[in-house]
Amino acid sequence: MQVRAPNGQSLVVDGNTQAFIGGWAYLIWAHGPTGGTRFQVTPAGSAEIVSKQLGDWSRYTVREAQWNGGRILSMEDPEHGTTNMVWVGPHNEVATFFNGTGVPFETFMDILAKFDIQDSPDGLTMLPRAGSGLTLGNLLAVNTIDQVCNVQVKPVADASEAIPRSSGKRVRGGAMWRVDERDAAGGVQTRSVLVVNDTAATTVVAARPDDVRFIDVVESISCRLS
Amino acid sequence: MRAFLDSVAVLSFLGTVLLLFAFAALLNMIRELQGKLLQAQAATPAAPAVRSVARFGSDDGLPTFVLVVSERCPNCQERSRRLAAVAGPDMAGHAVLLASADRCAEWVAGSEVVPVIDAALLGTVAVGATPTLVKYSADGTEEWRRVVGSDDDLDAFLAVSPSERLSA
Repeated sequence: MQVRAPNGQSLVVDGNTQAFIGGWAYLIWAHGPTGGTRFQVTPAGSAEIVSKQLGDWSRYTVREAQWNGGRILSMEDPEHGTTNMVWVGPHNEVATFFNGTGVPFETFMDILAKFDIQDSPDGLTMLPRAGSGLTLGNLLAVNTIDQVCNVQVKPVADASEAIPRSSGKRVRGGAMWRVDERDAAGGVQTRSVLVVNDTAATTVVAARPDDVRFIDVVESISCRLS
Repeated sequence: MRAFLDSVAVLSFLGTVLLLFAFAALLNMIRELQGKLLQAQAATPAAPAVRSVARFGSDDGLPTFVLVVSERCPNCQERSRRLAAVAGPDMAGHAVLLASADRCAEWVAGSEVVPVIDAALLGTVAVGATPTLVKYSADGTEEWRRVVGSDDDLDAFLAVSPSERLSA
């Protein structure tokens, strides 16, 4: 399976015998002279569906308009004094977070206008426009295999500090290290593995530590960013 | 031979002097052009030109609120209906609906909102998102524009009182 990440890189994931639960969700930062802004890029409608499932929707003051061929939503949380803004395109959506309420749509539109946003079934790309002074970084792609594991992929250059010095076990997707978090009694609380190759560092977190399907995924999955 | 070399030296010196004159003349021309350019820049205001639409001016001194909508936009329909409900003698201004499709005029049919279906004018007003409310003063000058994300926002921008909001 090949998809397009927001920074224009292509993400190729294969070898997973059980399918992913849905489309990929991405976290990406845009760094500029005034600081950084975090964006979430997810399949269209995700923010609305998730907040309805979590029961947050009724709490929000929701505003909506049309912009650039898609819907633009403001989900304001008066209780916490925060606002999530989302541009929902035909296939994917971009969301970002603001502190405070009463944030005008224009603030979000001004931010998005600094990017060349292209939405296609393969993925949404948001490359900074020339002269915007912005650079994209800290990409994280996330997906889930239902009941089995959560898969998080980032460029190998961003993960250099997390890669152990010891040589990992060879698996199909690269070199693999097992990372167990144990509780006070010594039992495995969370089991995850880090799989590193020349392009990507992938963390696979098990839903249940001893699930044989998790081991299968770890042995066979391959994630590459190019 | 000596005489020939001397004459070449004199000629080249004269040539250099002539080139210097030409260079000075060119410099003068550039300075004149720069001066004229600066004058031309000073004549036009540095700030962006004030946006105004004569059609949205009024004789009674009241402002005009223009709701810019697009056809395929469910929110535009909702905001138009809301504008139709609150427009009237109690509103401190005139209400106009600006769109490019005839169908949008139906959203405010039977109300005090004047529908203006004019694609060229829509292009001139050039809003980024729809629905957007643009306020024009009585002389047709644009005062502000805001994206209207909810009926409550529309009421706030129109400064409709809460009691009217309940009755509408």
